[in-house]
Amino acid sequence: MPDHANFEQLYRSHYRRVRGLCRQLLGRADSADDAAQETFVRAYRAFDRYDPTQPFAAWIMTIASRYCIDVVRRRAKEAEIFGDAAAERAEPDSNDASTLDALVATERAAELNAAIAALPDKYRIPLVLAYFEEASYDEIASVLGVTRNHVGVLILRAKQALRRAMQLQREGGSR
Amino acid sequence: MSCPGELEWSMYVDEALDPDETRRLAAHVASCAACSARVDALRTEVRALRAALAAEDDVAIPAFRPTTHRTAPVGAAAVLIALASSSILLGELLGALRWPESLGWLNPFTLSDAIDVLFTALLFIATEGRSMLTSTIETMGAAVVVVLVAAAALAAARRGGGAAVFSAALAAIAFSTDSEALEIRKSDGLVSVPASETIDDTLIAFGHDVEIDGRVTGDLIAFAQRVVIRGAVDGQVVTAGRRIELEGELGGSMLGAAETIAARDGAIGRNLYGFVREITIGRDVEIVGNGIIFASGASIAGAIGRDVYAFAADVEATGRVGGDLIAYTSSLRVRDPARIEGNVIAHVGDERSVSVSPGTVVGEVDTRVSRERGEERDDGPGAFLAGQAVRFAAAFVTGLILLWLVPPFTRMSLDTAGEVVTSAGVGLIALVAVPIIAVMTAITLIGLPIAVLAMLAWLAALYLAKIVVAHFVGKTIFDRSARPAHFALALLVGLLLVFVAINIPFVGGLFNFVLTITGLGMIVILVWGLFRDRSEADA
Repeated sequence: MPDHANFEQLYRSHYRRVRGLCRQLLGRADSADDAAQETFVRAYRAFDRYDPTQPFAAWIMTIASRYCIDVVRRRAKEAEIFGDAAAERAEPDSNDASTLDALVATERAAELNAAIAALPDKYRIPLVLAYFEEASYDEIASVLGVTRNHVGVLILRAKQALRRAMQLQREGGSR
Repeated sequence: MSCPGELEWSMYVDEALDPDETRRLAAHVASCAACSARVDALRTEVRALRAALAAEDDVAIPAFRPTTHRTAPVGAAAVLIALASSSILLGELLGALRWPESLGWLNPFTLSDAIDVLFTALLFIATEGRSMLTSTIETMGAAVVVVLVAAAALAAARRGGGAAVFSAALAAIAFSTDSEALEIRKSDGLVSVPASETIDDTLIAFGHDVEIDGRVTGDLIAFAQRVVIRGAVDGQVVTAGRRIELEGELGGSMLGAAETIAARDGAIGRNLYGFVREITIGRDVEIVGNGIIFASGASIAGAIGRDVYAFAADVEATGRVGGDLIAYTSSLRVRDPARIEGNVIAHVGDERSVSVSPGTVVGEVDTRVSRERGEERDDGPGAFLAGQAVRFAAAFVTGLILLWLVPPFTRMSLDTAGEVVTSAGVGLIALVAVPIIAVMTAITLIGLPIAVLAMLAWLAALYLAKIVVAHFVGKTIFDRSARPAHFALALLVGLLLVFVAINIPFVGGLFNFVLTITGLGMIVILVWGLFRDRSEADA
């Protein structure tokens, strides 16, 4: 059985990463501290059920993402914020190579981060789960209650929106 | 060969495609320079995203406080306010904001009332136990039905149609009879059983309107805006709606929750339980059993075979009552051609609000005026304060001993509003169920000692309930300030707040009740947990 005395140490070593996930998922820094605290409080209470042979990071990140998605869902009032695949299909492919490197060309991560935070919840959350929590599409699909293919569509839309945002910023900045 | 689309490439880069598709795209990349370049660009893009997301804010790590729950006190306060305000509404429904005198024993700080209740109850059991048994069981049945109906309504509100039907079905089973099967009818408009039709089952009906002109041989459970029963139901009737109209014959009891219940004609084979704003029992109605009515206005012109219990602001009786008429009311009128075979017992705030026409009551008319809160303080504020101080000191000492003897009480917490509601619910059940079970055990005579012990434990728990809540309140306050406090200090502060809260005029009684059931629930849950832990440790 895990020892509660170790918890303080685990808390200190994982706090920043958990807070980062909460900030990215919620898209807001101000509620990230609360969410991170709540995550650890929940983990502390459920610590008896934690299997020490599994990595603590994965366990705590799952708790954090579940909690934050709940918060976002409540914020959005309607449960089905992620919609269905058919609705997302309408937008045409943007195969324009000039926009594809827009993200990469952004030198400062802070700008890209701000653009990610500004994404609609339904695009930001799968993006963060995939590239921050390193969850597989199948895992994301089960957490969000959508199909794997739909996860792919949402992540693609997120990337497209980010490319457009970065492109606009670059054009704006060069003028 | 045409190149795969953007979505496929994006998923390919994230290794999210099926193995077959992955192989197909990999083969394509090898042969198509444009797509190969694109995949490289996408990979770079994902790296950029990962890097941007991984950039951590340089924030200070706050101290971890596992016992602090920002939402809990707010949520708990919201729940308590909601409970209190709904109680006020209920109080208005009952016609008075005053806490009924008969419930004074709920106050643990006046233990003598509770002991009175205990001994009165035991004496009563000894003399009347056997005849009470049937009505106790039926009352319990009705209580179960109320809970199940509430569950059904809640489930229906959450659009869990299945759960609603399930609860309704359970209610049907709990509320009795020997019905073999269920028939469920649902409609957005009218659900009707025409005069020519006989349903040989229990009928569960949901609709805007439900009209029963035919015959139901089992029970009837109906939820609708308007429920009209003109035909016959051989079993029990459980119904909720805006308006319930009865003109038919019911073989069993009727449990109705509605804005208005209008019984114009017909008969009820057993008891009537009504939770309504306005209830009218017309001249041509016959109820064989008891009438138990919670209403703002009640008009009884029909014939009721046994007793009438009316918790109503305004009660008018012009019919025949075979037993007693017991009313908690602010206005009671018994007029010709009424005939009450038993006694009339009126619990009122003012003697003048009871008017009984001569010759209508065979037994006695007993008017019991509830004491106003203020009258208890006739000795002057000094004596009142002195009395409170003694009670406060007693509660504080008792609390210290309790917390010292049973340390788990000091670690108790209600983390979410949900747990507050759970505690209050468990407390309410314990409050009601323990005496009922004790009475039933006592009737067997062999169980009498167990019943007495159970009742004593119950009284002790009632007394301790508010002390436990007080300590919890104090502890929550100190936890919020992030400075741990000794349990004695938390208890002292909590008790002060609780004493102030329960002495507020009008709503004090409601606080008292809510705090008592919450504390009782916390004790029950904690004791249950201790026993469970011990048995797990033994095993």
